[in-house]
Amino acid sequence: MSADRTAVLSRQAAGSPPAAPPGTTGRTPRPDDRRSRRLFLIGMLAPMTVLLLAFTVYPFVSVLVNSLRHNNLTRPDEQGFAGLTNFANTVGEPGLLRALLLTVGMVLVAVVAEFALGTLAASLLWRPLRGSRLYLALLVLPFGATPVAAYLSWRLMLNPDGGQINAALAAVGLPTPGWTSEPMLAVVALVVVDIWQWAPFITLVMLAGLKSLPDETFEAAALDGASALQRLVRIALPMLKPLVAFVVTIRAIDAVRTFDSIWIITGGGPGAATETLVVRIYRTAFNDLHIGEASALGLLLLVVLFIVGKRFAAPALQRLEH
Amino acid sequence: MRHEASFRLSRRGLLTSALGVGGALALGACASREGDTGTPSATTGTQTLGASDMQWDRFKGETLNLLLCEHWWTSAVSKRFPEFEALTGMKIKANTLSEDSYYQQALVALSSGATTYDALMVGNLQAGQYMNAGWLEPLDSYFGGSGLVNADWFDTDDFFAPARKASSLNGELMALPLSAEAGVVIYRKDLAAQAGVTAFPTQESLVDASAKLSAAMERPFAGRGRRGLDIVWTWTNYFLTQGGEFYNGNTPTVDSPEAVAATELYVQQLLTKYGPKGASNMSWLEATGSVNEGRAALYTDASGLLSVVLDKNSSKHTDQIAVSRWPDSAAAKAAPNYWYWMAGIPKASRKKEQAALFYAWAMSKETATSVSAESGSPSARESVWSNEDFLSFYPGDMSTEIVANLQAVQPDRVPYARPTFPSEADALSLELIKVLVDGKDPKRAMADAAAAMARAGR
Repeated sequence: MSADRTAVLSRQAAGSPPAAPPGTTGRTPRPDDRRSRRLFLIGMLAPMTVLLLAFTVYPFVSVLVNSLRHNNLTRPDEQGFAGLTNFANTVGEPGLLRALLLTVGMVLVAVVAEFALGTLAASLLWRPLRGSRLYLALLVLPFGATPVAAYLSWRLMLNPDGGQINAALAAVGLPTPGWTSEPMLAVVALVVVDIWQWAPFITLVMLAGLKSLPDETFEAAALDGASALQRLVRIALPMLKPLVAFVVTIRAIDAVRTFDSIWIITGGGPGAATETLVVRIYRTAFNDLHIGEASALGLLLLVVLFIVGKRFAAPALQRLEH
Repeated sequence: MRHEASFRLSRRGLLTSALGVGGALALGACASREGDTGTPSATTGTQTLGASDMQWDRFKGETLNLLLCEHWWTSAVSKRFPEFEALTGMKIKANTLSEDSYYQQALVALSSGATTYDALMVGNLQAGQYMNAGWLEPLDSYFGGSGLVNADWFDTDDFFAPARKASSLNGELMALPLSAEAGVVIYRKDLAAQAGVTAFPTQESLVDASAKLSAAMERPFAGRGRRGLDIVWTWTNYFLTQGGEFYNGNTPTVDSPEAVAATELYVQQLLTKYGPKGASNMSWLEATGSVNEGRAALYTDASGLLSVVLDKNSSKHTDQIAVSRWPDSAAAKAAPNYWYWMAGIPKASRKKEQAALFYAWAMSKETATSVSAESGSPSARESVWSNEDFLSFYPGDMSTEIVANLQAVQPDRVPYARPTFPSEADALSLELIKVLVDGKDPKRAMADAAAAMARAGR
């Protein structure tokens, strides 16, 4: 966005009349025009402002207030200001660091794998391919499926005792792992489910990006002898760098918040093997009824997401804008 | 070996529904129940309820908002709502949710203090939290002789005494128990006979029975091992029957010899040695699957799960299923664990009397009997368990075993009413799973569990 246009928009937002284009004689708007413009702006902004206040600002303030209060629903008589006690209690809990590291680890592995597989699939669909429409339709299914039903199906398929996956492995004489009962395998299983669900999303986004690139560049590169892989890695991906940064960041933030798949497939188990930060927050709030501590944990998660967003998402958005 | 039957419960396609993804693509896949025809039985109804000598139409024209959880009782009673509406002139708006969603919704509704729900179901584990937090309206004034409900006709004494106790706080009735389940031994009578297993005189004998049954199948035992109440619920049957107690005053005592013995028996021997592969992530959903698909022959869990194990739609061996009451231990008499679904009125409800009138109908002997006779729902009303139509769901003397178990329940010994018990049970479950997954020494695990429970209950 150019500086001139930014200036124009900010003047408009402030209710000032737009500057007259150079070389013309601008008419000074009458007060009625200004009022109607202001009403128009208010009318356009009001619905979103109300929604933001109700569903973002209010919950955030509420979480902030709760994190500083004794708010344990099992002890309704013990309410009041708690200072940083909730933060101290949650940080001092054994398992918090583990949950944090597990969250980071799962997100890293899942997002990298999703990006690699998603981009690979997008590159295959980039050029005309027989049946590509069918492939595209199939790609939408995983993240278009009803999540809870899909995860419940995964849970039953992954069941070490009688699940379809182990039944298939046993049928061909292969070992039958304890997918959801062995701590490390349970983590792997959840990452695989996440990849199954979200790699297609990255495929679609990357495909849209690839299709927006000028054909001439790649035709010239092909004439110069660049292979398909080189054209993808050395030309297309650098050209799509802002989009890549954006989609990876958005997916990472979303992956940090993953809850339903973990809760349904493993319940955070076996033991606490798959208890991520979000599962921990849920358990603290809805099982233990420690709303104050859950709020403190929620704020910690927000800080993590803010750092990720500030470091990666904001620069990517700026580049996309340019 | 006590009682056996070829069950003919014809509902509860939960497992089938869940597996059958397709149209049942929802968490609450537990809704598909064969036999629910949607046609209310003619046996209940206004004539009998009319004899209750109550003014049923005093709130004519009003609407009641209900929060319900998917359950066979819910399904059966919901079909009868038109009867209630015809009787009272009131309207019912029911929000029926799957279990996880229901718990969240109930918590939000009750804790906000400004709920729009006038009546709601209450889970056993949550009852203590809700009662102690003062979120439920005491019910004695409605069902103990008010002008609203005819107390003699409604007869709260007809609810199983342990269920009444579990629904009370400091002697005051805070909810009405609507279904009653207790721990039982479910087994395959054909395989047991082949293996020479004829009875379960003690819970320790389950190990011997498993060893004998392992000749017929690799892992003959099934039980829950998933984190949280799943593993703790089943373990509690063994623990109480060993003579263990959860607390001494406010101090957790799960480091007692009884707790160690129960852990050695259930977790270390039955689950680890003879239990299914993947037991550490098994809830009742997977455990009943093991039995239904013929991979397990011996299963200890709640009697309510007979509806799944004996459902011909999802089980291959319903004719061979038998049930035995919870056995004694070498050290003490049987003390099976229990689970009651209850029904309560939010303190913040603006239609408490209307809600009480609804319960007077929904949980009356007449409606409870009809609902149970039609669906097999294990009512918490003792009188229902002598109804011939209902008992036909439990052929032979299986019902005798279940009733014996329900009467043997000792609600005071299970701290559901303790508001911090959900967190403490979660802490306990983590240590039990360490025994199961990591082979942790039971004695050390139980010592750590006691410490973890003390921290969780802080």
